[in-house]
Amino acid sequence: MEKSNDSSEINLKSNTKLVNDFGVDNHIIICNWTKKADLLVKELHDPSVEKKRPIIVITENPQDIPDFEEDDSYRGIMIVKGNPSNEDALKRAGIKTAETVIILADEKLADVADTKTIMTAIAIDHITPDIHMVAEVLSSNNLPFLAYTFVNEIICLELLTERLLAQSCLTPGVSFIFSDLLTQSSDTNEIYVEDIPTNYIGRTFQELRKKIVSLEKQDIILIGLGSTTEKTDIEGEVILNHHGNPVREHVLIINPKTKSSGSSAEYPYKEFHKNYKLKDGDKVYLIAYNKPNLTVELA
Amino acid sequence: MQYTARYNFSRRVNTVIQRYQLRRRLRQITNLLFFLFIVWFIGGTLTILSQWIISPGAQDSARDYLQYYWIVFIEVTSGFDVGDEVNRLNQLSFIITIVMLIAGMIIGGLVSGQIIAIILNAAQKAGFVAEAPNNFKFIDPIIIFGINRHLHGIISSIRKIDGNANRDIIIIDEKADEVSILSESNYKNIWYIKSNPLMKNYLKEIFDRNISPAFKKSDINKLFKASQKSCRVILLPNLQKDHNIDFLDPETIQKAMEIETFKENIYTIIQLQSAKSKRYLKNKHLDEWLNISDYSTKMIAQAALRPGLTNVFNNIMGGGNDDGTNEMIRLSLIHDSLSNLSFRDIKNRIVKDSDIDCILLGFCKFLKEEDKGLETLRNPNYYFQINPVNHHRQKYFQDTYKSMSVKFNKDTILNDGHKNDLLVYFADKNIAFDQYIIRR
Repeated sequence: MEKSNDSSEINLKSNTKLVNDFGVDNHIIICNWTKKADLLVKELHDPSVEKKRPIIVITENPQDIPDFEEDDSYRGIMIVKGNPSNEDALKRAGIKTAETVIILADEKLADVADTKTIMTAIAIDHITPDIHMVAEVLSSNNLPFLAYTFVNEIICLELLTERLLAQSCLTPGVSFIFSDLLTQSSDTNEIYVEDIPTNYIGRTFQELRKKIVSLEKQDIILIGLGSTTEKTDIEGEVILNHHGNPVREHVLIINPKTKSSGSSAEYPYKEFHKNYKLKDGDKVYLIAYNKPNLTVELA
Repeated sequence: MQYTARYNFSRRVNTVIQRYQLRRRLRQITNLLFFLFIVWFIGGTLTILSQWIISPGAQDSARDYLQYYWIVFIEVTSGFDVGDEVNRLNQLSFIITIVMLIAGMIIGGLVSGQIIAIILNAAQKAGFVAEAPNNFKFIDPIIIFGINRHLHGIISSIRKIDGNANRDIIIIDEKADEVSILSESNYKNIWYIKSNPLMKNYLKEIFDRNISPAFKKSDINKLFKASQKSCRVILLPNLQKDHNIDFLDPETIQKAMEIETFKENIYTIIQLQSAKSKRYLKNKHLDEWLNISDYSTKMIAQAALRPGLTNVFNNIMGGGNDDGTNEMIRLSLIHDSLSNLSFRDIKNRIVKDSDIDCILLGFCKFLKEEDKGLETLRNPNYYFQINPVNHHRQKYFQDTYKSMSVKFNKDTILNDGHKNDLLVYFADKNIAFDQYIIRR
């Protein structure tokens, strides 16, 4: 096994490959290797994950990546040496053909870690703005800056800490439940996002819920639905784009209510109640031990 | 949290008193007035004695000598002489009068100083949380032990989830008096107690002095009846840059153990920095620990595997509305009419009831002695079963994965011989399943 910090094209690990151009696609790119990357790789390559994707790590310090020869999770991990905020490094990692890119906060940079995350997001946007981008941010003060990028999902460590501690305090035991929902393994629950089964398009959310509850052999909980609706302003007026068409937005409704009760008067999504008729393109959010196949289960 | 009108009134009065430190100022002013009284009495008596001994003819009757008390009083309180009367004094009485005048000026200055101090203090302290009154017994407060950069966020999250600022929050730390108010609405009913770790049993003293022993009224005890917990304590690590990161977790665990040693009925939640520290928690009877790094990593993985999930978790973790109607995980005791039914039966009945807006997630089972097993970490009297599986699947999970997460199944009977089990559900407000009667 050859080892060198100077070259960017040397096989560093027996299980991993240091690469500059490799014919993989639909892969996951991890920007920066930090302490939490080990757990992240294990979660992404857990045996319970149906479709394991190759992982390419872009890091300036490839020597930090452990050499777990016996660990199946590390099989198929490739490394690009370089700064992830550098477009060349991103291109070498095949950013254009990747499915997801994860930007981890570079802990070594302490207070300026978020700056590097934002710079990386901007660089990715410049190459391929449509990619599914997940970014870790340390401080909530930096969240507004990410609004200028196309990051799809932001995990803010500061907000997560504060919310989890507050919730654990007010609802004792809740940390255990979140741990169960967040852990990727065969014997714990996860949240899944699924399309509406074709035979339930046009039927109500409540009908689907009752059917799922009645499934004897399956352990699935329907928790909510996702749809699109016309975006409105504070006064309830539909917002139009510069072509004069209504702007549409994605909505997530956890635990849709009965039509009569609903939420507060200002609540803008009152149309999504228990008797809302599901339409093509809507999604359902489910808690299950493994990926459910609603089309088969509800046939 | 609901408090009695008497408690609310007493708390409001104490807020004003503590914010302006009126008790301390009043004590200082009382001391000054006592000093003034002594000075007046001694000064007046000495003047009378000197006039009577040295100038016996100055006054017509013994009663006239008493007017010197009034003269001295005027001098001491105002710092001014009383005109012609001074001309009738002998030399010694005149010296005493001068001394009284000086004393009057000093005392007058001190009293004015105290009044200015009250005003200045009020102005300075207006931006900081109030000190907890010495002998006020807080009912079921949330105690935050330690200060770090997450303190303000935790406070606003608690307020956001509660939907009001009625609940008492007490911050205990050496620098607790430096906690500033960032928003008037969120920082109502927040108190600080300055701790002194050098003092032996300082924590015990604080808890004995300020926490009501009537813990049966506490929110947490209403749910976890078998646990007998009084109040909740969040232990925050010291995240100062100059602090050695390797000592963070040991210090936090040590703080938690300090609390455990003198009061077992406190619900302790600790924030850990490393997952490796979990092993030190065995048999420590801490109720909850949170290693945020693990949670965030797992959330990143989930978001990568299933796009859109961050939004879901953000919603159910209290990141939704500001009006206290967040869709969150909630717990409720179970009414007799649902007791001795299986979880499957309860779920079927609740789904059919269109008046109930909740998603049942599972249950929290009270463990009898024989059920406890080796799970000594976390609240050992209860077990959270999320999405219980059927009997066959439970066996499969246990045989294949040695699973610890399917202790109970769908057919587990709830409130079997007791009334301690809880339902776990998603809802935007607490649902009183303990008052829920099945429609037959």
